[in-house]
Amino acid sequence: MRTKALEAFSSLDIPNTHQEEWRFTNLAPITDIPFRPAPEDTLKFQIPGSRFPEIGLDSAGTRIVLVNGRLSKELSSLPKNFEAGSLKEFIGVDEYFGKLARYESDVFAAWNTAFFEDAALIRIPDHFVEQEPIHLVFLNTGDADTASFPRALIILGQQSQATLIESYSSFSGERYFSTAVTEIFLKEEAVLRHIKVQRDSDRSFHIASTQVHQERNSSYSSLTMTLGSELSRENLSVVMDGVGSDCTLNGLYLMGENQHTDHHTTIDHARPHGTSRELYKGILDSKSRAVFHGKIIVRKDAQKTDAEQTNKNLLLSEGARVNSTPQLEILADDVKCRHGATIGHLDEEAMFYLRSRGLGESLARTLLIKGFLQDVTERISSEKIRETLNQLLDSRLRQFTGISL
Amino acid sequence: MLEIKNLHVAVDGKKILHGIQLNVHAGEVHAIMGPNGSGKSTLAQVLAGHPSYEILDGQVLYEGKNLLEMIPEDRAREGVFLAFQYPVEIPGVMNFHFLKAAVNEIRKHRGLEEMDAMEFSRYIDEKTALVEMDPSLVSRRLNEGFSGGEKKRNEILQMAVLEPKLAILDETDSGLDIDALKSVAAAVNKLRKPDNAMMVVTHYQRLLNYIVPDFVHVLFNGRIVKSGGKELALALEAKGYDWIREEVNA
Repeated sequence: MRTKALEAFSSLDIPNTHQEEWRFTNLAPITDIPFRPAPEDTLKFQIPGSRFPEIGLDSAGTRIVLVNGRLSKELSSLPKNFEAGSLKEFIGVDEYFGKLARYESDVFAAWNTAFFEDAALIRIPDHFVEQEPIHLVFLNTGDADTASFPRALIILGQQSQATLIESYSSFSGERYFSTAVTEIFLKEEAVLRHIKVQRDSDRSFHIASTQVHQERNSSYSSLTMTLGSELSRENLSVVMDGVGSDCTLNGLYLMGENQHTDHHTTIDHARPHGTSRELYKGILDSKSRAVFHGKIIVRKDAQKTDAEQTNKNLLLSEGARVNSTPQLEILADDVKCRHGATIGHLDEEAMFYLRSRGLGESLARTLLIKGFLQDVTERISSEKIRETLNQLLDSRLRQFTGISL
Repeated sequence: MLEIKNLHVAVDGKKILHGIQLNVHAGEVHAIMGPNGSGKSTLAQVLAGHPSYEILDGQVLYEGKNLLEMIPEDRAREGVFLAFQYPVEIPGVMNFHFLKAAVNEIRKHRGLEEMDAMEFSRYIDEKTALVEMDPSLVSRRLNEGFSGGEKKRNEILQMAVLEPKLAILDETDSGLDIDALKSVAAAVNKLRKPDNAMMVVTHYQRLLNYIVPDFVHVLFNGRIVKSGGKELALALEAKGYDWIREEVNA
């Protein structure tokens, strides 16, 4: 696998904007920098106080912490009742590892597959229901101009259930590069609630590929929250390869300054009676940019598919830009598919209405922005997680509006 | 309390108000009547500070201060309230949180301590009871999916909560059936006090059966062409606006 990935990495070019999949995202800033490997010696690495409670560093449940892509035993808290930890320490995952990542065609997946140092494994046994959220924490020491390769493999056995919070963050404001690959398998009737929070340094580059494979009657729901990085790309690809599975993809991106984020999602309805729901919402301030590309494939025998996709964007400044493209490939004839996208500014009449009640301009803006995000955040079923994520959103919004609630 | 002097206003380059003169004192209720397009709603919106209107000439003094120079939120904090003809739906914002934020902004402005959620909860319960509103309105999203009647009730609830000195009711009767009209009017009457004033903007006289005005002004082509007591409203009801039109044209 390594050899193949290395060969692919050497032969594949970094995509440019002439390629359809990268039309709105220019990778020149990444290719111009000679990145060196992120340092390995992270034993001395200390978490300053309890600075990241919101990403699970003080949680009671399972916590798998990787620093610069390598498992930190000191910071992790591993469970006894299911497999979790460094992939190296477990056997019997060969039939899964590397099977979803497209390292032969995707240069970033190849890059990761050729160079990753370690990988996190989470494997929930059949019929096992894990109540506590599992935290998968990718920390970056944030050394300037370094590259790291976060990697994870998640396997949910038949009729198992879990909540996974995958987070990326750093203690520095430096420019570094993360190329992440996460592969997720859901066996029959498995249920996974997956939250990904990306809070890498505002100068960093984050390119991630999340590949999900669903078996019969399984349920995958995700929330991707993108707050950090100067340039980020989230490829999220779900193959609904079993009858009657359902998939919910939600996303939130809050961009400011010169940040650029690109969310490419693919939902592949490969079997009949599948349901997918997708709602991505974005807020863009300053000169930030966002790209949303939502692809839905309905295969020929995926009859009775019910798919719905929505992307809504709120621009807070004249300089912000969004490119939103739905892409439907429907080969079956008995299906329901709907999609819609909006890009707008804050409603002036709504602003006046709130101000006429005594609310100052920035408070009125904050209320409208939070209201805009509400229907995504309220879908998080756990109140504790919802509150934590709301706090993260609030602190980011504070940077845009100068006010918090 | 309010002195409007020779107010000329345009919107999108079109002149709507041509020299309004009006004085409103504490304790008074003034009805502003007039046919469609006479400038009633423009007057209401201008007093609340809507940014789309251009002031061409004139002056508005509110408690001796230049109202037109104040930003909308400062007008509200100083006690001016507009009940909107078309209240805006604000998705995702809970009525309770919005009202609490509004009350606290006003309290801060007046040097009072802010209310916490517990105190505000008690306060809002009192107010919903006072104006006999369904308390469930408070826990819904602000005007989102509200019926026409619920939106108007919610405006009056806001008025009760914010306790304005000068309340401007813009066509609060429009879209209400007679029962809703009576209950909204009853709520407004409970908020009438000797130290506050109201301007009731309406096309029809029927609201004024329930909110009885001290003065009635007829607005026509952007001017107040006739003023009188409550009997003027009855005359308009009986004779229609054509009578005014003929008088003005004569």
